[in-house]
Amino acid sequence: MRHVVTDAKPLSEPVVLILTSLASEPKHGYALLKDVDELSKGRVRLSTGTLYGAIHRLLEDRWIERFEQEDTSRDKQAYRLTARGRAQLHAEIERLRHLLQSATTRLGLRGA
Amino acid sequence: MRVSDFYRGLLLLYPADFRRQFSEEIVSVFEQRARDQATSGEPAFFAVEFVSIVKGASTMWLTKILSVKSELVPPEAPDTAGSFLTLAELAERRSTAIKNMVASIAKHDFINARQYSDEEVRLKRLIQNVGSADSVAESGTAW
Repeated sequence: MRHVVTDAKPLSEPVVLILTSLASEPKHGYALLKDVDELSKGRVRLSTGTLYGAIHRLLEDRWIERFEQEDTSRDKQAYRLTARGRAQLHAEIERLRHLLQSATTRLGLRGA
Repeated sequence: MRVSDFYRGLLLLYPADFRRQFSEEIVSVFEQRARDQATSGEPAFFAVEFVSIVKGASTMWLTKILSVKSELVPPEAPDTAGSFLTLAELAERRSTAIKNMVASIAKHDFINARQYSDEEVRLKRLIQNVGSADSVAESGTAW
């Protein structure tokens, strides 16, 4: 099913990073934290409580879903992006792309 | 008392449904990070972790309380502002108000959250008024 985002609002940076991290492959909580750290080059370090607060909201909005991984001994619960979550991430990337374009033009940085 | 026992105790601040869903997982991730921290030596690690639990739990409780409060508000005099909208439009606006309220709470913007909560209550009342007016009109009987 194709999801179209009509009421896209700016997403917070942690949410963008979590969705981006899950866009390539499903992950469990600890791997997600590590990847968010790496994606942001150490700038965004989520605490465990913040991560699970965000996961809770994303699950409620059905942007991600939870499933049980069978091949790991410790971290069984993993998360993956849903079609709706992917559409939201696309919409956010489009918004940021547009913003970047406008700022680049206004600052006269084109081709810099 | 071990640090992870203290952390597990802090998780009791969260609503029960959240604890049932995530408690074990959160403690497991916290323990893995605490081991990492022992080698990397991040000084504020434990303080940040503990504070985030307290903040996260209060936000979650506030969200819950606000949603229950909107269900408990008693009906007042009929509100006619916005009654030119259809039921579907009113329902859509109410849904947007709820989303905005939750988003504001998540950002700890409680002033706006309160405004969205009031808006949601107003729209809910309007929906009830429009709904009852429609059912009277459909039945053709005024009691």
